[in-house]
Amino acid sequence: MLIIVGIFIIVGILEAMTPHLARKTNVFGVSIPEPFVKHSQLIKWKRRYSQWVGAIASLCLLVQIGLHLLTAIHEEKVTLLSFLLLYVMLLLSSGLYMNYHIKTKKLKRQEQWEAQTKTVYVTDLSIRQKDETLPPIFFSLPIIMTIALMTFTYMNYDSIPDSFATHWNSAGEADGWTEKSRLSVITMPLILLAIQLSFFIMGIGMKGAKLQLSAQAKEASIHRELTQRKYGSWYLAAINYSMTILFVVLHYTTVILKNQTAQYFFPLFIAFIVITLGGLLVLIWKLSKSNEPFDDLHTNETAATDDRYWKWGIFYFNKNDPSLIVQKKYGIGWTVNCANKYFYIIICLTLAPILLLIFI
Amino acid sequence: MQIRLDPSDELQLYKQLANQIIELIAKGELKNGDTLPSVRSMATDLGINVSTVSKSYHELEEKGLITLKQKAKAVIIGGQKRELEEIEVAKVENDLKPIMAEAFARGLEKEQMTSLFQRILKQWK
Repeated sequence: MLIIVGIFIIVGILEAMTPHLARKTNVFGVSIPEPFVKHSQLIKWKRRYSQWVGAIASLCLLVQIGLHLLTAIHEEKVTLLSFLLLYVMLLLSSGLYMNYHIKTKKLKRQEQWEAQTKTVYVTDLSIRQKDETLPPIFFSLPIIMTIALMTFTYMNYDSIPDSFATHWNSAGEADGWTEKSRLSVITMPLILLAIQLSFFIMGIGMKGAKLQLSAQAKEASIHRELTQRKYGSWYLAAINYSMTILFVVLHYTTVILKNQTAQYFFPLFIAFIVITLGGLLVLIWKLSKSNEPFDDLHTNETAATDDRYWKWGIFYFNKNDPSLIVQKKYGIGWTVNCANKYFYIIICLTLAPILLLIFI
Repeated sequence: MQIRLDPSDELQLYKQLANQIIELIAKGELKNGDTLPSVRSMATDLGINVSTVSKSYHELEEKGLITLKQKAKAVIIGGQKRELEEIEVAKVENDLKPIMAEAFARGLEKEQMTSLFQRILKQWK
């Protein structure tokens, strides 16, 4: 219960804050020419969005806590309801997003912002050398670990118990068991491998992704880009490594050591949650601090905008862009270039291990 | 080491890029042996076509200012002080002549032209 409420609060805060976390030149998934980033209507809409999402999230939270404290509904049902409310909240905030996305687009067109600004292409030659995004090799080590674990599992296949635990309840007791077979003993490593592969590709993509500088706040935007890329890749690596450790320990203990309910499972799981959520909060704090303020706007220049490549400010299609991964237009994080042919190859590659499990 | 391309300028984008890199070499900010970003990442960061950057780099290579290496790496070879061959000096003179002639014909005094020259030269080391 506590964990779910915790997740709920973090997701709620995140959703409410999202418009303020994004770069100032992107508002509700619409590119804003630099001279207009401080337009009063945009600031008002951003605040309105946060208030709405905050209100919805608080209401949902109160409903859950109320149900838990005041009624005798079984805890599992409350948990289910919590997840349902989480989805409702996300659905409502996406609706709000779309609403403001359309409004912002309309405002931009009506006031002819693009006609009043002058587009320039800017970059800095030394910025790539200063980039501290982790190299892809960092993301390949966990993959090697998983492959080693799978090999080791097969080497010890005969001594694996006939059924082993694959699910635990909140008290840390095993409540889900799996029959031993050639495939079932590597199911968990296979899933891990699929996730690690996609992280690895993300790692390569992040390194090559566009460094977006602004025309009027060059130094500040260099700082923002370097910070966001560095901490973004650190966070990705932190999740990757903690998840690998969690999965490897679980697998090794249950399958090789034949110990189905080790004392350290629960603390390990909590540590994983803390790293994932805590890391996210630290990341967001770092990122929001690094956004350039645009205090000094003195010309009508703006860095090139890319609205025409985005659908709803969410999906990116750009045949001319050789990069696979791009920064999200709304919120923080990364998304793929859907016009890149490798995108489809990668989808197949990462889904292959999972499909293999389902159909064999 | 900022690059700023203006699409509304009459000079083509690839020319603008080449000119700005040349100027960075002249100023000494880009030194012999420095590596330029790969064609791909330069195009990605600027948000322009890969072919535009490639054209620009090839022009710089023709001028003998960079060498293009494997994996689209471009290394600066210009910038070091060396004796220019007579034929190269002649080329500079030929390039410069029409510009100076035009300015002179339009009424720029010789003294003004000399001070203009000094001013530009002062920006470089």
